[in-house]
Amino acid sequence: MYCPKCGTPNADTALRCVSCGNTLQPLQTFPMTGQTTQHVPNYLVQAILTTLFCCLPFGIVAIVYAAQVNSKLTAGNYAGAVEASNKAKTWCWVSFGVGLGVGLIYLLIFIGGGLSHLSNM
Amino acid sequence: MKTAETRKATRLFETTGLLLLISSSAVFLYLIDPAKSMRGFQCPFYALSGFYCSGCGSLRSLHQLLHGNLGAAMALNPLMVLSLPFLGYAYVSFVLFGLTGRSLPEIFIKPFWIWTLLGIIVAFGILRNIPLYPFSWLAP
Repeated sequence: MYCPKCGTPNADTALRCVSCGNTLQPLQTFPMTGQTTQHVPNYLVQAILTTLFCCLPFGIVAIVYAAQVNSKLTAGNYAGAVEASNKAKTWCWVSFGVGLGVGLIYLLIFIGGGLSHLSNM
Repeated sequence: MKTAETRKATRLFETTGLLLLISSSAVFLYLIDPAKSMRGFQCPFYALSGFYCSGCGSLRSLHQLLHGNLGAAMALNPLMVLSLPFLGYAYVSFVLFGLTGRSLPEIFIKPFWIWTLLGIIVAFGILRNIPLYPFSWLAP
């Protein structure tokens, strides 16, 4: 079983995560149906938005993790889905941040160009 | 602990913020044609590699769409135009969630469709770089 907090694989009988010490609840106590109905956001929309408008391959990485969320949910791997969901979220922010950074640099160049144009008049 | 009231306030704040972001971007893209006014500001991916990525032309395409030129918008980035209904659905779902706490059912739940979507986006990014007739139509 995977630790829902940090994603580290643990023995199915483990009571605490070997990596972060998080208290673990044995998966067997949850029926399969209970796991799949729990909502895990896949950030697919955000991933597609950053892929199309931030023009960066990082968005593709986010879509891969978004797809993994639903693949793992279908397989009943709730902890794995949470892990993929967090990664999808992270890569969406990376893609958005880089896109925003480039936009701001362009804005500064634009303003700088405008100012030098004014001073040349 | 977050109370139900603060959660509702956060949702309303996010919904209003997104609406402001979308409407200000729409006004900006209506007034400014990226094909003319933003010539010196190339996408860093295109400037570095010389290849069109899947998102290339999406701002120019949105400008054409805001002026009602569906054909010109499709010519610049068909994938972006075709994804708009889905993005619109996601937006309506987000707004409904912000106002009522309930959202519309998700469309992309089956992993197969998400992987297919990924395949389409990647294939589109590759095919639009081929300078031959049927594929050159995909280039911006």
